[in-house]
Amino acid sequence: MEGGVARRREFLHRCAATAAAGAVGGGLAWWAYGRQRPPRPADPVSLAGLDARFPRPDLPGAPVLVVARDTAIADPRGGPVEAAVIERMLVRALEPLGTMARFVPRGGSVLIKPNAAFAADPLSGAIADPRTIAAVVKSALAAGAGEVLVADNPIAAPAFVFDRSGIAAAVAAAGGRVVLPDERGFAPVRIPGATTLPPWPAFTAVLARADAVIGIAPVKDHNLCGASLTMKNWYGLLGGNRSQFHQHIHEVICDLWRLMRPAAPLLILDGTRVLMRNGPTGGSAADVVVRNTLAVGTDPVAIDAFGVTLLGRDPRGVKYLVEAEAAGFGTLEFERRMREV
Amino acid sequence: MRITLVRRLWQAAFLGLFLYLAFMTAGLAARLGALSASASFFLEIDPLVALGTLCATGALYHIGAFGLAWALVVFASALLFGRAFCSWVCPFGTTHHAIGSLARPRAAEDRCRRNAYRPAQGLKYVVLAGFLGAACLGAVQIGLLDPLALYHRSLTASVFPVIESAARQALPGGLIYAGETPLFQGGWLIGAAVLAFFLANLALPRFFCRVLCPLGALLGLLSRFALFRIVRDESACTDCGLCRSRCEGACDPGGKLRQSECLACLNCIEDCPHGALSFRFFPSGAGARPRPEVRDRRLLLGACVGVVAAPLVRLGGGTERAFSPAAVRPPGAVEELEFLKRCIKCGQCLRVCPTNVLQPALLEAGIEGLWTPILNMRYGACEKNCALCGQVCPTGAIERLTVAQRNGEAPYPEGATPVVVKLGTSFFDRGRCLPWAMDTPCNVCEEVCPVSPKAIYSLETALAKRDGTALALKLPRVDPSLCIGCGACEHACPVKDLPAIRVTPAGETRSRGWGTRERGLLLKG
Repeated sequence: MEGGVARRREFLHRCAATAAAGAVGGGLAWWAYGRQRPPRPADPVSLAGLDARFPRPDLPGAPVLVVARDTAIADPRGGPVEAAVIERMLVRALEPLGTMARFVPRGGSVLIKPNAAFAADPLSGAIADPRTIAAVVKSALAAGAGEVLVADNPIAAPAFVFDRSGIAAAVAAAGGRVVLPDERGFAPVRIPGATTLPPWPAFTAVLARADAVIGIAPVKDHNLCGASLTMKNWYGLLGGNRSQFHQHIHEVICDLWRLMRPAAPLLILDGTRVLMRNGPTGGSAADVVVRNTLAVGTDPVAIDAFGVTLLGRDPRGVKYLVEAEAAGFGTLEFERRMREV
Repeated sequence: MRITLVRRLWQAAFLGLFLYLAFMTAGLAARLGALSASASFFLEIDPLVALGTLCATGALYHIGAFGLAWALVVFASALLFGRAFCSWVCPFGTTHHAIGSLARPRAAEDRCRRNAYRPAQGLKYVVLAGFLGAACLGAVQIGLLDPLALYHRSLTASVFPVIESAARQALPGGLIYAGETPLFQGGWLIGAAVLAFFLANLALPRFFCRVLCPLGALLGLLSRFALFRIVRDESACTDCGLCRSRCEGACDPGGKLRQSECLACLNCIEDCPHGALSFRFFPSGAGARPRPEVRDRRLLLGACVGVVAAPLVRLGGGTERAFSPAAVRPPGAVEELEFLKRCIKCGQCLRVCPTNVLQPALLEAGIEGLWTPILNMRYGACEKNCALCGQVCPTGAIERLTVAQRNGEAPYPEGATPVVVKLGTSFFDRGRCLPWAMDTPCNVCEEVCPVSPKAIYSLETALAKRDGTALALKLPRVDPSLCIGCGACEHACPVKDLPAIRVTPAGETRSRGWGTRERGLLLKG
């Protein structure tokens, strides 16, 4: 019965094939059945340890705030300040703080966070002056930095902001590198001790890479929080729907410092020109006053309090500064720890 | 060197140049200084763009030298070489050519059958007549099918974004960030249309060029005057039909040559085993059909449909009386009816816009305004220190303003009183606004307002909370005389899905001085 053997073999083959197909389908269903939930959002990362990478040498008796003024650069028409003059002021101001070398690890990565919020002309006072940024880039490289990254997440379209403001060209000429924000570079971070901000997307691609951080802020009027200075500047290292911050703006600004505090950033306040009104965007030459002042420091409350006086106002009238002092971030009595050079 | 190899090199060079220019038109790339040579070059040499806007406006647009008068170069090439533009220069044609070549069947007879003349090829002349008929009544729709406008729009709104999105998923970020990928509303539709045209080559090689292309039709009509054309030596010809095996135009080179269909690709000369075909200067008129095979009454019918369609699409009044609140036009855009006489939907403004706020309209500006540029603040906001869209517009639908002219710091035109260009006006939706409706501080709109003094201001108002405790809240308002309609407020509003402040065209400056002031808002200012 050869035909019978063949039929039995075919029967077994086909049964095996059917069983295998059923097993594959069933197995796939078994595997997929337990996976019906959407993936959970990424766990917030911690930036703790930012401080441990570069132990900054102590300098007993150093001031927390140094202010350099240069009357030689006064331009009554409010034209641009010469780059060489700004570089001179920067060197002078950093001297009592132990020079740039104290803030820059040899061979390390330095992150500069300028205020590049808008696609504005630097003369408008709405952004950090490209000449100041370039001076800091050069200074950091001269002090031995391995690389200098310049990054901000502007309010306006990023590439256009860096181009239109002249920051991109100035940074490239000084030997630094602009890093444009891109959602791949952001991850949610947990801010230790935050009172208001939940875990929020931050520009971790540059933050996690940096061995040292330098903030450069202009001195600006601000419609909602009074003044935009170095503490408000850290807004630009966050992503997401930041428009929600304004519902608790003072608390959020304090939380921004809680995020940055471990990095012990060098703070630079660019008071060469000051946006007196219509901030933070400006838009008219009439809103700007030339002050020819550059302040550097390590105490955010002191340096910002000094900045408020450049606006001709009382630092105690800025709510987030009062809250920051109460939280122990620094002192509003900046005159006692300030040195003028 | 074989003449067809020379042709392929030309095609590759022009396709490469077109893709390069289109890519470099992006706002990001513009800062590299390549903007001075945008893809406008291709649109300016396009005689259909010149003729279409000429029919509508009675003028050839130019800023500085030549502008749309460059079309005379292609016009002259048609008088010399017929439709050589189609198979030597046109980047869209080259793309179809390449796809058709990849899909070529093996058997010689199958190839020849696909390249036989079809009566459907007369359709493009009717399409051309329809577009020109509509253009004469002020509705320029040539950009729907003009191959250069269509291709540039498709690259901008679908091809480049698809490539960029895929590259982003595939590549790790590192520190080489290019910013966000620009995205375009309805990009899928623009992409599906061009994909359909590409795939049609599998059924009929060069379907678009042979059957639909209105630019090809225009050049086909001109090619009856061509001084050079394919000539067949009847004594050497054996009627084997192999000349059709790679014939791009389906123009019957082995019979009575259809001059209006011949793309001067010169493949037939190479494919003829008997050396019976040649491309000659001033051949005798015998042995060719100089005119397209389409009956005059069909052309007349096409033109009539176009003439009727122009007022038909405006019957709803959406471009005039009942103008849409969603159609906020870019800075420098001319008054709406003039705009529709000029815009060829090429999408260069969309590509150059650095904030991605410029979007191809779907039905916001009426069916007539399909794929014309409008602002959608969900994607971005119009940057006050920018006037790039007008720099690339080849037809003057968006005028070439400087930033100073746009901001009212310099006169436009020369000698006029400077005017701040307003795109529209912001209006609060108090029911959705956090301070107004929900007793919550916010005022982001005021923060980002870029004019000085700010068009959005707030007054601190004493209120009581639900439990009766006192609350001092800043309540924002718009000063319409200062608002420029840039949409920075709408874009930044934390109420993302339907923002609590929105820009509509009411009060836009482009309608000022056009008699009716239909879209005006304030009597003064």
